[in-house]
Amino acid sequence: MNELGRPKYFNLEMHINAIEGMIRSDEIQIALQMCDQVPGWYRDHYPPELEAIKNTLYRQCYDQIEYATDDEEANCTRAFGEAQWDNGYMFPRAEIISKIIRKMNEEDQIPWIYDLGCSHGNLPLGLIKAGHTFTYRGAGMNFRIQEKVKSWVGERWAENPLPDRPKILYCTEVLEHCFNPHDIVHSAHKIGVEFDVIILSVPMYTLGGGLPDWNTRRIGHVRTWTPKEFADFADSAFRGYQWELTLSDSMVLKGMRK
Amino acid sequence: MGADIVGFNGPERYAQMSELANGQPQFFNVDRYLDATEDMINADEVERAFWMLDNLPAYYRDHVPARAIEIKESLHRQLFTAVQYLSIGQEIDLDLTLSNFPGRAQILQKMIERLNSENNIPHLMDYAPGAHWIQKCLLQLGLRFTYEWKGLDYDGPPELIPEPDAKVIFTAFEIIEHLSNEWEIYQNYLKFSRPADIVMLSTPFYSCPKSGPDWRNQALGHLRTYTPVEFMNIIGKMFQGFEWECFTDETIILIGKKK
Repeated sequence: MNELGRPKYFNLEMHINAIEGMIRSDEIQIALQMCDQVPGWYRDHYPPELEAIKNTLYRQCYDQIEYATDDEEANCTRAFGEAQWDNGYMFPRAEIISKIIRKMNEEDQIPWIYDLGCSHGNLPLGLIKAGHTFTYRGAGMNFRIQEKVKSWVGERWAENPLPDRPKILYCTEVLEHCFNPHDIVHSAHKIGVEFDVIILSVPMYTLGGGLPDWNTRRIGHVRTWTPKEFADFADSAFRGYQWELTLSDSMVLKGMRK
Repeated sequence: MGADIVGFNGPERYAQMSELANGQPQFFNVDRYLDATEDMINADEVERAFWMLDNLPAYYRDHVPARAIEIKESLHRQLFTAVQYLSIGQEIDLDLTLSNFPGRAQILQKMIERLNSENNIPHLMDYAPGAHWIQKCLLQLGLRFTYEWKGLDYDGPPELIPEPDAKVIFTAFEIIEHLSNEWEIYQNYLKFSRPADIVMLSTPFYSCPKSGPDWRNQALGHLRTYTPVEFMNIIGKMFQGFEWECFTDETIILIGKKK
């Protein structure tokens, strides 16, 4: 191997260690870029260790096909979705949306909720359990879950909002899974509804300290967010809203149309 | 940004958040990451080091470690800007003995010798010539050529008008790795206002062998390294309609001849 131009004071092992630290911090996108951001000599003499990290990441990361076809997710039960409302998993977004809908109901308003990334149906199941009145449409990549949620929600399911009803966009714990967060914005705009309220959430920084076992487990989060990055993104993606940011393990942005 | 930051159930709730719940990654060694960043600087990859400093995990983007700030400030302090490059050539003690004539200069020498043997007096357009050592060495060899240059210095050799039918040679040696905007090479080529028959450019072959481990006490000029393909890609975009040859020694040398 021609050593000409090889950096003498660059420790590849240290760089690899830094990349793995990044992966363990939920920063998959940055880690993948770091794999490509090696000094010129290594870009032409690419280390097999880096190739292995990239391949492991590509293998372990959920992609769109897996999100759409995951059997384990599709087999979730109503009890599981309901439990997520109560067990702190949805704190504080559950409390925030609950408060908004309670106020609307007190004013004799029945909101329509568009749940983008409806997961295990924890939102509508929780709202039903809490006694709220609403109509609902859930959208997710796993069609089997979406159909289940539709059956659980029953007559509350409404493809479109009725005129003069408040319209809520609810998209929580999704953005950190997106290689391109604007995908969510596209999805929200595609249905052609002007929302009165928008609720968004992402984990604050690294969730739960990170992933020590990244190379043997499935990876869903591809990036982390600071509060400012999150608020700036929401403000640029959805113009004309007054935003309020709640900080907790999960950061929640509530946008009220001005 | 129009967001008001509030703590749910008031600031008390926020204050009660556990260490794990504050989003700090538990399996990330920030010191080792910054060691890796400093290694990147030692490898002539200053732009990539800046990128690493700006791309810490989110918690550290909001709670920037003091050491990361120190590295960034030291980098800014040590990096050459136009102010430091100005007049640097005048401080260099030139070795005109030709004992260390690098490959790029030897290729240029042979090219001018061949043209002279064909009774052509080429015109050299030298971009960022430093202390004009190539021009001085070629003159010392008795080669015949006219010369003009563009650089930061106010003073330099007098510029001579090219002979009729002179082959025009544009040179930009060991400069691209110093430029934040690589396209300044092409901008200055156009400012010479003479289409070149031949263009010659060079950059270090990967990391410069002179780079040392003690970057805090060195003037930093190189912003990035190039692989031969990367160098060819950017130069090929600038200079279109040329046929290229590539040579490597401690540098990558590209020679483009007008098709």
